[in-house]
Amino acid sequence: MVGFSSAVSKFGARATGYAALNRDDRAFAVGNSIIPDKQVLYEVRDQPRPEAFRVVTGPGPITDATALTRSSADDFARYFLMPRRLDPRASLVICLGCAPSALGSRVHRLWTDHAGSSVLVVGR
Amino acid sequence: VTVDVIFGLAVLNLLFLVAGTGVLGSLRGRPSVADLLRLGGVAYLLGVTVVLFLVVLEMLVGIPFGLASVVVTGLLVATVGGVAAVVRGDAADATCTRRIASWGGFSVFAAAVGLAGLVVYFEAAFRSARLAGLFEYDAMSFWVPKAKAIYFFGGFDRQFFTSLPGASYPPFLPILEAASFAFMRAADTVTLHLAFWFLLVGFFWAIVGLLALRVEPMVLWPLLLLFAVTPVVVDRGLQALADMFLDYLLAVAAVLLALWFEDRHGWQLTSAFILLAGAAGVKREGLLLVLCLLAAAVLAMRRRTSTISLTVLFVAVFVTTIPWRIWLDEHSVAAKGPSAGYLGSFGQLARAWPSLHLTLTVVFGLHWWSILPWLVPLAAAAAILSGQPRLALFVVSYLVIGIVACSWVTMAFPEMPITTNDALNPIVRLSGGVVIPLAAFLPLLLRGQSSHVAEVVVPV
Repeated sequence: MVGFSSAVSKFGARATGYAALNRDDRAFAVGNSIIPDKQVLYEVRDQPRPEAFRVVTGPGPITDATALTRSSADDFARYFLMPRRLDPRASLVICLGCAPSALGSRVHRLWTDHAGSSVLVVGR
Repeated sequence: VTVDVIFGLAVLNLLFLVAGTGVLGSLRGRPSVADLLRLGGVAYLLGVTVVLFLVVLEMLVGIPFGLASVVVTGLLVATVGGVAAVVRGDAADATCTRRIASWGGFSVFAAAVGLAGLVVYFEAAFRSARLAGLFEYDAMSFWVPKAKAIYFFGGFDRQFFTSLPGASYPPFLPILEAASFAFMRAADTVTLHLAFWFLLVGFFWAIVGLLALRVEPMVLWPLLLLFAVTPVVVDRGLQALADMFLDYLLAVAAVLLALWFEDRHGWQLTSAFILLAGAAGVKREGLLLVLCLLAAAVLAMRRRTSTISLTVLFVAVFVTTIPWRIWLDEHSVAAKGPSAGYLGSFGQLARAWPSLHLTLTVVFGLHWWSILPWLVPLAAAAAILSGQPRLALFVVSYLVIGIVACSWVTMAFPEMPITTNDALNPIVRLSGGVVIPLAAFLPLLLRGQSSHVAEVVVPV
């Protein structure tokens, strides 16, 4: 009886917790502990053409970065941005702490949060 | 989360139920309404397995995945199965004599309380699942991306399926999730958790349906509720991962095998085969657990005909995995095995005891599976005393072989630390493949323990 009551309470508490999240937090879920600024993915998602993208991380400072940011950002971006494809040669770049100058001379910044996250277009 | 999306998911699961009813009817004969109500859970899981298997084959030969392919496949299975069931005739003569203990009015009370308890439990689980975000790392890393790739690109997209982590994992779960997206008309990774709620309900329905007429309600329902509230089921039963899906298929197949020992009805063995093939199609370790289950069955039966049947069954299950292996081979995806090699792991003897100790800690540690595994030896002893030595041997053999197999997995991957941390070692998830079938066996082991035992004829 105690176990049953505890299980039902646990489900109830979880339901209450999830209901308290806003739509973005719910959609991001595990991404909240990977991507420091959600907007960087929304900016890529809202690009007009279903273009491929890549994630470039670097040692630069990223506000609110976690231990997972540099290691798992590409996994999460691939999951979240589908059907866009992750392509190591893509010109659309999610830059997390990277140095834009290292990507070439023709780099155009589409968006930045001035805290380490940017969306770039690298010219060919 | 909108009602439309949930409705779409409900329609998909209804399609699985209808298709599975056709499959069960073709194996067992035309079912009565009572049969449909009782065995609906078994039919549902058969439907899930057969439809997913056929959709995999369709995709492998180049038929694009989509809402239409799933609907047509499901309806085709239902129609062909339905015609076969009509040709076969009524299943009403499928009965056998059973020793059922009488607990008088307590039985009705226990069944009513148990059923009410499960309804409350499922309602709470539903509320928890319908707004759950995707917090599981493996789900985000490869299970759901694979499903999205199937949904968005209509097949096994070469780029995604060869580059994602876990590339060689079997495709049943991604296809189930992709079918859910197709019926929801959106890649809604929040509502997706309800697909696992349907599987959970289907599993309980299947176990209740198979055991309700054979096991006294005073035994059956408390054990079901005890299983429902174990920490692993509460914490992981609704996660968008493959482990519990695999465990459900394995557990229902295990019960069907145990019933086949007693009744020798062909539909029980064939249904077990289908579900075991499903288990092998969900995760790579499915095949290992199928082997463990069948080895335990052979040990318990010790009859030549049974050994031959069970060996043929294992070969048939293996054969069902070949189409996916061919696809992997064609696309140069290595079917990743143990890093120490299948036999090389025996060179890792220094890890043998730590691996076994880890498995024992998880299986018998109350933190994960509560007291369920502790009940198995006691229930087996009770079964021997009540005249069910073969069943007891089957269950205990599976416990021992399963524990050795789980330990071998830790041993065979030397880079895997000896820890219960899920991110580093899958032992907790893997243990479900041992404990959940054992939990399904418990009511069978403990039946007929009352002093008032009557022989009655029950449908099978």
